[in-house]
Amino acid sequence: MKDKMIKLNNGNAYYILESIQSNSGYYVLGASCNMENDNIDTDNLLVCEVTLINNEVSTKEITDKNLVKNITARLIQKYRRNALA
Amino acid sequence: MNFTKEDLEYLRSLGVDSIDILVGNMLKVNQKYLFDKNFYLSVAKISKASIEADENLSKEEKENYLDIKRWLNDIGFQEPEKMEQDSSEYVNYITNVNAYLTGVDIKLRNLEDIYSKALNLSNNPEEYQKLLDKEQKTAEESAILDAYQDLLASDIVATKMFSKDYIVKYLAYYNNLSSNVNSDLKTKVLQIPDLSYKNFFSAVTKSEGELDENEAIIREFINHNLRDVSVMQDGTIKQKEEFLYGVVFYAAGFIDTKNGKNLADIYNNYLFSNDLSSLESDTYAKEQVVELENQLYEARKIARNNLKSRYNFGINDENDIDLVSIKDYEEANSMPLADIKTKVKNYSKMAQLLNIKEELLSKYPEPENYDAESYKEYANGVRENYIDKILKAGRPKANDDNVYQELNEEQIIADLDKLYAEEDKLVKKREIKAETIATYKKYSEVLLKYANKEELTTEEQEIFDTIKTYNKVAPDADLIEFARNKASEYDELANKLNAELEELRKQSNAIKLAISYLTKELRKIEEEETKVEKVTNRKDLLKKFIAFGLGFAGGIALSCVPGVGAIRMTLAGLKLAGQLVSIWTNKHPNGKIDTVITNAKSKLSNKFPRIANGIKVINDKLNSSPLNTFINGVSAGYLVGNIFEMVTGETIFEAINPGEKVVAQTPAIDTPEPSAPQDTTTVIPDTTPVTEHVLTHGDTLDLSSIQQGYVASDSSNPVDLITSVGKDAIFDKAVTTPSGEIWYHFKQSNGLGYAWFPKSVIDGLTETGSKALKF
Repeated sequence: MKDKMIKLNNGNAYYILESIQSNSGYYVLGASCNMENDNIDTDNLLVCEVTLINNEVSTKEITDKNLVKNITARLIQKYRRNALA
Repeated sequence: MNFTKEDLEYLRSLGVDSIDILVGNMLKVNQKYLFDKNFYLSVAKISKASIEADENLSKEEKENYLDIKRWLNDIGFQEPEKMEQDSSEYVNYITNVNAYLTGVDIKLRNLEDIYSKALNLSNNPEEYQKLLDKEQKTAEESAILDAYQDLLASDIVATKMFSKDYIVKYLAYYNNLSSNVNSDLKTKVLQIPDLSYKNFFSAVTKSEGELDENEAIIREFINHNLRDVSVMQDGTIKQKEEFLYGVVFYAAGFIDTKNGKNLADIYNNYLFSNDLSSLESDTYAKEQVVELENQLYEARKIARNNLKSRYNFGINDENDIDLVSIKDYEEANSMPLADIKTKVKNYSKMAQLLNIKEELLSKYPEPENYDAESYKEYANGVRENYIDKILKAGRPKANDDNVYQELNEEQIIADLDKLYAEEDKLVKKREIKAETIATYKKYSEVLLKYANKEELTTEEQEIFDTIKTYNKVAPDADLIEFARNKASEYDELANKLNAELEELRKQSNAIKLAISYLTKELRKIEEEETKVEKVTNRKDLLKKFIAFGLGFAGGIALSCVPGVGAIRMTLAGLKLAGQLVSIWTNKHPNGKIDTVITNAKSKLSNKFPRIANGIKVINDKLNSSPLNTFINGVSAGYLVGNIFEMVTGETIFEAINPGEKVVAQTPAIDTPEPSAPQDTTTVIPDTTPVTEHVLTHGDTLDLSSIQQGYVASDSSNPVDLITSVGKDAIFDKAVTTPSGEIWYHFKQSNGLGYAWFPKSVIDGLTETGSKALKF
């Protein structure tokens, strides 16, 4: 999903900076943006899980605290590795 | 390098401003390296050459040391050629510097009053003893006694220091009077009416021409029987002191002999035991002992007279006056009001600091609640805005407004131009003067030759004729008389011009001195400019260090306070390192993805220029060096925290605060804590196996695609699994943890334990299959 923009049914839109496939799921690092006004929040980034349930793709908060740490670190690591490559 | 007063005046008359500034800069040495008497003294003890040659000193240290050396030199303490500890020049140099520094130190601490009282005390042993014996001393009296001890240590006041050897030696002088050596001189001295200690002191301290008849006799005696009085001129302080003690004992011997007494034993006892009680009955002996004691103090005082004037010079040196208050301002500023009132032990110092603090607080009120860090910040603000900007910059010297200005390159170059031009002019003037002098000398020579009726050469005859014509000499005048008068006239003129030439030479020297001084300063400024770059690098390094530290602390926090709050907090901590990125998982409401714009990157710059720009900003932030350092810090801290936990079974925070439960900390610097996600249901802690799950005990699953799981140990880190063992994993049990998470435990087919997995991992495997999520 890297470098794609997603729009949710609740009106939120995100630019996906990085994604990883893990055993426990699929996770993304995104930045909240507004396509109508051409705006992006550069200070607060999003880390969430993307799930596919009943053929619906949804974003989902990660509730496992340990997972948050690992996933965030891995997403940033991967992003930086790609940026350097 | 030394400018004399005349040099400075001359250069000022030329409008060379930088000289004044330079003189001020020399004094700034004090300001720059916050005056520390002992430090300055130890620097004084090292020779300039050894400082320059010392490889262990950093370049900066070397410069500091040499600055101090230069400052001392400018004040008038020239380093002796031999910096050897036994040489008398060295001892004199160090003692003088010590006295001066003590004076400056006293002034910087605003204790002149206390010290002058202590100094008076040193001339009055009885008062001193009385004060020493006093049981209830006031704060001031204690301060005076402390000051007295300090002066003693600085060799400025007299004290009684006798070893047995010295007592034997001095009593030998006393007894020497009974031997017959130089008996004529002895008799002469004894014949002096009203013989007193004063006669003896005068005899050795006055200059030769000022001596009266009696004093001359005493001096002759001393010269023969003790040592040559010239020691008072050339000797070290110690030599002078020993010499004067000898004089005192001789004087005592003479006075006692005249009175028909010999108190050698009494003096001996007293000097050893310091006890007057056995003398109660002998009034004369008692008086004499006290008198001897007083005279020894007097002798020491005379030996150190020079020192005391040095010390007074330190105290009264006009040039240092400003240094006092600036340093005190800085000190008062750095301490909270409450600390000044409770922690400063010296009352006069406290009063002074309170005074200054009051002034500072009226302009910059203290923050209401502060800790060490925030107070430092406040104090830095006051220093930058008030002390540095207003006090230091706006504080003119009594006679020189420019003293604290920084020398700048332009100024120096302009002044150098002026000086070179002036030097050229002077060289020409000197050439003309020298030529004229030569001419006058030649005239006078010719005229004298004529007056002495010697034969003149053709050339000389021509000169003589010219002089005659020029002076309109009457034909009948006496030419010999004229020649003689005129010759002395020309001599006078030549002498006058010579004096002027000498003056010009002095001016030239001053200019040369100034040129070399300014050139050096110019070079320094140039070096300083290259240094600035290094400082910038150092600042970067510091920033990195801070980022790493924040990360490290954050990592430790993460290791025992798992959670979104902690991540947000630690990443937000980067704000301090100049970058800000917060990462959230629950701030953004979950939702169904409706639209996916692929290849967004290529469309961005056309359609969404601001978003494209924002992505660049984020990219910079995520790839910034502080973040990198920060992340390294996090992993290091995280590692350390986990290892600690593994070894001790406690989190670091638990170990620091035993008994306290760790809670996720609320950061003080950032946006409010995220609100709890709306879809979270409250789970009642339950550790019994859960039966309503889809899986039942004994179900077999293929878990080989899961590469990491958790094993039963104290560590909460996932471990790599041998996935082939997970092929036929048997579901064992489900457990709900106190935090509401559900965990599944699986066994291997052979019945041994396999691993724990969060419910979500297994759900993902069974319900949807994570591979389906690939876009």
